[in-house]
Amino acid sequence: MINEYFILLIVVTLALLMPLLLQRTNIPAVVGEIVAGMAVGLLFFIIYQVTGEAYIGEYPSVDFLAHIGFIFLMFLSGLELDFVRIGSQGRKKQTRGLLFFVMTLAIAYLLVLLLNRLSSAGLEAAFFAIVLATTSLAVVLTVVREMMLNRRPLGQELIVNAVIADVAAMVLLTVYAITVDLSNSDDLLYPLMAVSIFIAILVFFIVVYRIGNWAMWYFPGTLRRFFSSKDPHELGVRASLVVIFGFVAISSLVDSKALTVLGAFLAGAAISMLFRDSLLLGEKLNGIGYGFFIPIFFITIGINFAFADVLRPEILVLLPALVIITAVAKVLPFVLLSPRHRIRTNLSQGVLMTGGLTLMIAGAEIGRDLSVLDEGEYGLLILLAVVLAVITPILFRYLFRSFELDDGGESA
Amino acid sequence: MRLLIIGGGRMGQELMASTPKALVVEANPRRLENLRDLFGEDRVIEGPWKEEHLDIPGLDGVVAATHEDERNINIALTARGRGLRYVVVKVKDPARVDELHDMGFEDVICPHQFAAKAIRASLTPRSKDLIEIPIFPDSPHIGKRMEDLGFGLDAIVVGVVRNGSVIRAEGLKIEVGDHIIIVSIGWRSKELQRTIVRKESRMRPFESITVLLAEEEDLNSTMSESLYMARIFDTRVDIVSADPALMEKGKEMARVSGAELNAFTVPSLDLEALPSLLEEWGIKGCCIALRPSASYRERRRFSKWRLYRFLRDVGTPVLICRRRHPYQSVLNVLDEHPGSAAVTELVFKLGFLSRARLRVLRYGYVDPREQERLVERLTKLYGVRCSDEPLIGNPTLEFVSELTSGNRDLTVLNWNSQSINIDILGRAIMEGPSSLLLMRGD
Repeated sequence: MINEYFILLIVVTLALLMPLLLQRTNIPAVVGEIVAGMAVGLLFFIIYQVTGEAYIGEYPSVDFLAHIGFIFLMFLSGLELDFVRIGSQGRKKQTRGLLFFVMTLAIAYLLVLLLNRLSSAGLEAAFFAIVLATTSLAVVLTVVREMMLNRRPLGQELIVNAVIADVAAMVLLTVYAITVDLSNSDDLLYPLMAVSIFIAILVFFIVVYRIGNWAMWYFPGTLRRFFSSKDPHELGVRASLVVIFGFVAISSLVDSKALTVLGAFLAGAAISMLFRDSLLLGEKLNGIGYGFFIPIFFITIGINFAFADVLRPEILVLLPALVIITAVAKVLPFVLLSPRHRIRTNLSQGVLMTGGLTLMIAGAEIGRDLSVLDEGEYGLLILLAVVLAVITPILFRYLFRSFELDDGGESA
Repeated sequence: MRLLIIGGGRMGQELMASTPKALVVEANPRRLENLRDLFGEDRVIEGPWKEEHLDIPGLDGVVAATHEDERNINIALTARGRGLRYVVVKVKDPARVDELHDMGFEDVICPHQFAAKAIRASLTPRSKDLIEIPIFPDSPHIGKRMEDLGFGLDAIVVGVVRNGSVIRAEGLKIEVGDHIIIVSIGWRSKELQRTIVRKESRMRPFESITVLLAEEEDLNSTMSESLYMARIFDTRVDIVSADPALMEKGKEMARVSGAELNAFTVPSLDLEALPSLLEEWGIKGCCIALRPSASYRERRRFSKWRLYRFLRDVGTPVLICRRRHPYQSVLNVLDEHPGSAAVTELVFKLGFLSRARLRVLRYGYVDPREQERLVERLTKLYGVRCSDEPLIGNPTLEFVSELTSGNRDLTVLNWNSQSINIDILGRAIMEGPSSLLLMRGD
């Protein structure tokens, strides 16, 4: 009876309703989409328990659209990167941002090891450290702009740290995935292929950037059409799709989700570096991504949520532990790197950097693909991403307004 | 009055006819014959002109009226150097009139311009202009009475806008923030406005221009453009060179143009060492003028990245010279960076002083209306011709389209704003068709 069009109807209806329902709250629509997907998944789970009829995992076309949504999500994450802003901040701030990420990584790694020691969790410490060190650049940008902090040193530092954390986490995830693939694969050609494709993606990135720059200088009139609101053929969108699928096609030569993710991410980064501040094109690509494909991805995550594997006490008890680990790993570097700042300044900065929704979910997807995560741990990371995405912006706003944070004054 | 007229063309003949004691210098044999017939043997000196002609006893003034502008300017400069009371110079190119006024020549005659103004005046004999002169904090007019401004018969102060109200000018002392409203005869108004405001140091974006002379071609481009810029903003020129011959030629050019000059000889033109040398020489608030060229790159003095690093670190404005002066059209990008508005205001001052047309590309998504209001206010304040429009597409592409159109002589950008793709900016610096003034708007 139910076919893929009905599933799509459910998905797009939820995608329409969630932003409307959540508009009066501070909860991101993405969280609503995942939670709504979970509700539908729970309903399917109950139906399966009662009737034995399965609706999950039966529709490859919906899964394909969700996968495109994932690619778009990573592409748009890359598009958000502002390399010029990082470049303009000077070496001191760049080093500080990198140091912040390394310290976060180290603290998260040690705390996950401690958690493994204290419990029987048996989490892969290196992988979890990378995933917990991710930051949501979108959340940081939105909150910083909303609070009018983008021209103040505090806001600038947050954005630089978030961008560096975003890029470093992506690269580390890819390197980690290749390393795991190398150690697990019996095929001698596979390691060579994986490393070659990794290098090919980076070379393709440089080639795209160079060609783009050349075309911008010599054919500005032609390229202007790509960014015009009056172009009936939407050449800008079509060219962006060529770049996205150029990267993704190269990365898909090896069966590795991490390389696909890196490819899509670098496609966004290349366009961002070339055509910085292309608001109209950005709006159109956001429209395609967030208007259709990305909600399918998030709702599908919710629908496919493995309740049976996650709703177990030994898994659920890890959730608060991981929230605490993430918070400590993000706040402590700020305290250590800025001992002269007020503690509430460091606290608020750390809190805002804690919510790594997109990359945390990307990490979960890669982890499951690598078999580093079982279904329970995968679900746990999804839950963690949802919880952090809900509480961190609210907590930051509360801290900011309550303490009227300055740009790091002396301790009282 | 005993005048020496250099050039016995139509203008020279007219002057000779109306000035009985005048002498004329002429080299053309046919004209010489005619002049001798008209004015007698003793009033005609067979040319070409030599400096010795100025030794004629009892000479009151010189009129340089040959058919070559360059030659006339040289004659005028030499005559001024001799301290003659009247030096009148004729030029064909109207663009040179302001240049010569800036050099201190009061009597500059451009027949075409003169005719055009006369025609316009005859068509609208009662044309008047209402001009507004802002008084900046360091204006030399502060504390003066309105009557002391001394505009002569061409202009009269009709009122002052102070604290949002218009008040009568009689007996009033000038204060900071006043806007003086003046009525003048149409074609005099802009000159009047320029003369008054130019004297204010606030109009200067930099105190001096430091010219880097590395090779012969720099004299025609960097030196010449820097002298032009120095005249616009009434600033000093400092020459830095490792080549003594170039240095001498540069000094001579500066002397001819009448610019205040300092010269610094260095063992080699090293960009990295320049900031510390400037500090050592006590040069503050300067603009560095240079010309990136292929020959520099061959000599490994300026590689693209070395130049870029220098531009990033130097901290002073930099003028990339391409010999596009006098500026007819100036391009500027006004974006959201806090320092961009100040750079745009500088562009309006530049337009006001050089009479260039302005093209402002506005780019901002927080409050585009605010930028529009700023451009409107500046256009009104400085009274320059300006076209502006908001950028809808990509700012870098719009910028490149404007830049490579070949219609712009100078592009002024805020280095710190970075709304232009940095590699494209690098290309604009190395290969762009227009001169580039990179300001440091914080």
